[in-house]
Amino acid sequence: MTGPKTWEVFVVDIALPGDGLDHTPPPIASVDGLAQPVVKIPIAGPAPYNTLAVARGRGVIGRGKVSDDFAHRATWRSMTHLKIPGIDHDRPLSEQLVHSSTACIITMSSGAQLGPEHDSGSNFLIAIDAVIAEAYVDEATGRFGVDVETVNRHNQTSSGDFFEMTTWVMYYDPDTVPLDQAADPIEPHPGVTIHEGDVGTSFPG
Amino acid sequence: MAELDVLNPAHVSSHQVLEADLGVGGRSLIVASGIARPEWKIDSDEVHRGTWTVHLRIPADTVEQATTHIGLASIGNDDTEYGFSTDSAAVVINPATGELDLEVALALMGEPSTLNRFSYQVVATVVRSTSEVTGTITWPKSLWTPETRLPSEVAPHFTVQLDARATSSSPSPFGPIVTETLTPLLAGDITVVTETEYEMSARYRILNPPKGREVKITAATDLTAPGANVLIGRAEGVVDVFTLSGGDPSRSGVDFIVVLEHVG
Repeated sequence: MTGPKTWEVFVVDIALPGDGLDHTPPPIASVDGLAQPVVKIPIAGPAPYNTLAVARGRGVIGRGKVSDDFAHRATWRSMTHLKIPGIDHDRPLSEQLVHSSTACIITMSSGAQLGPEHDSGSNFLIAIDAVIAEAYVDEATGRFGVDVETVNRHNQTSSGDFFEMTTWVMYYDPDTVPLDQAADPIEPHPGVTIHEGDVGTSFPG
Repeated sequence: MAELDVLNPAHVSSHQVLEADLGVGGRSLIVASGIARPEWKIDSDEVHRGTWTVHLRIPADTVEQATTHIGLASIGNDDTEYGFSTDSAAVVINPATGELDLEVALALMGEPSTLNRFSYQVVATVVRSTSEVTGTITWPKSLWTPETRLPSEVAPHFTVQLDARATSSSPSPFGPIVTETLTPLLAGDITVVTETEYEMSARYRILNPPKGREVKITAATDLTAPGANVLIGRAEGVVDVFTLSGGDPSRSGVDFIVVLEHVG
């Protein structure tokens, strides 16, 4: 894959086993798409902030593909490609940045009916209950992430659901040049190299 | 159809607001995000449509630009055909409160279906002007003449506050008895001290008073005088109970006077 990777979503498959059917939901092309660019905007304040950024991440709703008619709750960390410099991890993050984030359902997909004993009906619940106010910055990479509380429930068909999270983050970046001093166009935010196993969405550690 | 308020956790969760100073002409960029909870359930095979208003509680005199994203956040269905939609969204200024409202249209079908929550993100550039309540407190020099004309010397002796006002009425043999309940919301600052031959006067200011609710301005003093009660009240002809709005955000001339009531 070339270019910056994004939407690295690992899906936990807990569909009912033993029925011999392929429960894989239909392909979800956007999950494997390229990252949307991060937008960074110089701002005048409030102090100490001088930068406003817009970034997006994606994640699984609930526990991935499920079909057991139980509500599966999970809090997922949706990582973005925004890197925030100079974070002091011994201080609360809320003292060092401000974010306003939300998430909505972007995909709901169902596979084949699980077995001949089932009728053609099913029920479902797909929910994003909350976006956690305390955000996350990875100590090693500086990447910014937001935790999202989710739930999903399906029966009779193996189904999977995904969300997209959009976050606006206000923080201090020593490299940000004020707009009235910028002689050249603003440098685009660099892509982030993802290593094997470095998933974009994970359970908060 | 219904109103939701970000101040009520049963209406809205995860409401987060950031405000960036754009550094030009009092402009700010506001981002307000959250998950609204209409908790809408129907049992019908026809599409139902409804509108919800989310009170964002963000003051704004003028919205220059605004764009809004809404999306489904919690939906459910049991065994039937279904439809869920976030049809439209718009940001408006509530004329009564001067605050931003988010107006959303939703659609739902199913037997049953629930549209429990939708997510929103409002991005707007707004301009704010300063609104205020101002007035004076005047007292006789014979009561107290401060050594200086500094507000810091005068301010400890006077309290001016803006109270939310509510009234209730109960019957009695002599007619209804009206009870006034005042809840302090904001305190005023003494800004300037002036004097005439016989009187001192302190100007006060209460910044950013709330709009869309009835308020009352009250004043108090700790000054005392031997052989007299020190009373403080509104000056003649002054209206100290009013309701501000986006089109009428300020009030001036809410003046108070201090008088001595001699005892015995």
